[in-house]
Amino acid sequence: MKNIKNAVSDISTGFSLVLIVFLMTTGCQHAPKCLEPYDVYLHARFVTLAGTQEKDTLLMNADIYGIDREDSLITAGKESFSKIDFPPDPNRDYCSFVFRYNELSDTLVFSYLRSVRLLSYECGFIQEYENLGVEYTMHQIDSIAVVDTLVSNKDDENIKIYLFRH
Amino acid sequence: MAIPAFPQEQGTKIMRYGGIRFGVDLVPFVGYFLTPQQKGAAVTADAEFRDGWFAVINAGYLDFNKEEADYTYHNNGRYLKIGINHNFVPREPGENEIIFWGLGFATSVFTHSADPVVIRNNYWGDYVTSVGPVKMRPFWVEMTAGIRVEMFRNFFMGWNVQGRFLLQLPDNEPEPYIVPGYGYTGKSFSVGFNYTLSFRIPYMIKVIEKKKKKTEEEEEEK
Repeated sequence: MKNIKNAVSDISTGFSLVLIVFLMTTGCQHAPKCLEPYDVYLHARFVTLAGTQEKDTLLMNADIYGIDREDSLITAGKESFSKIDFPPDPNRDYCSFVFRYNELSDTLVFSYLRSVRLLSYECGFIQEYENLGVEYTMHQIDSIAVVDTLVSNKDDENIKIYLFRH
Repeated sequence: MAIPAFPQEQGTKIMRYGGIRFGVDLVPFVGYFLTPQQKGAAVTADAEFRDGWFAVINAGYLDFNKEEADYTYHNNGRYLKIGINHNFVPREPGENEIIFWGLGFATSVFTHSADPVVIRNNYWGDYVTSVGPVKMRPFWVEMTAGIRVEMFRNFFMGWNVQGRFLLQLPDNEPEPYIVPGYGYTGKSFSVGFNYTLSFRIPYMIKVIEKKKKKTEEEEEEK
């Protein structure tokens, strides 16, 4: 059975070369890119009630900024909007914003539980915010409904802000 | 290609060296030069417990680090595989070359973590945290096929490929990036490769009595 020994030796030699090529190509592979949305925002929509009808409200020249971040409007560059994305503070279990409209101001305080989640090893980790709660003053704001208590990288609406009708 | 039958006379006693073979897998060492973020080593031992049947045990460890812009991932653990290999090519007395398939069961114990993890936030400022460490013990089944050649007396070289089927991955978050001994965990199936150099301690001589096998010529004479 010398033939078997020779054949095995030949296969081994050939496979050794294949191994070297395999390892070299494997080592040169590029990591796949992240295709998932990475940013996490609290999605809000402004509405007014006309009777029992809910209507989107377009706000003109309204300002929103974080408390202690007066110099940085999250509405910068937006002359009008009916939806806004609030950035939760990843360093604390709450964050506060000032909503200024028609020369009146309201304060919104969002509270949540923070949890770090692996999106994927290509994208990395994100911080999600669970059990969303909100407190607010009522100068312009009639009420706030929490639609989805999980703030994540998805586009789902989290709160509806009902404004007084003028 | 049909392999001819190996005719033997009734009652023939075949002397064959046996013994435990100890080996080292070269793939982790070669791999280290190509992917320095993973360090590891693997050893193997096997013994022929019946003509053509080998009991096999593999053990190894992996220390894996992955550095990305927003996190650094660590994984450190050991693995153990036990199984049997079967030579399916007839051998002459004194011949130690084999072509084999095998089946095995494997497990790994490892700890993984991500530290630091940076949560980027342009408005409020970045937040630095960590995840884990989390300990896990997954199981998987391996099917293997390969060859082994005796280069010098009692010195062997061989390779084999493995198909690995993950049986269970614990639900603990986060999912591991890699499982020592199994590979990357994106799928429940992975492919592996071993290239081993081994040495056999020939402390045992096997005496095998073969039963008579009728050759085709004998059949014709009848």
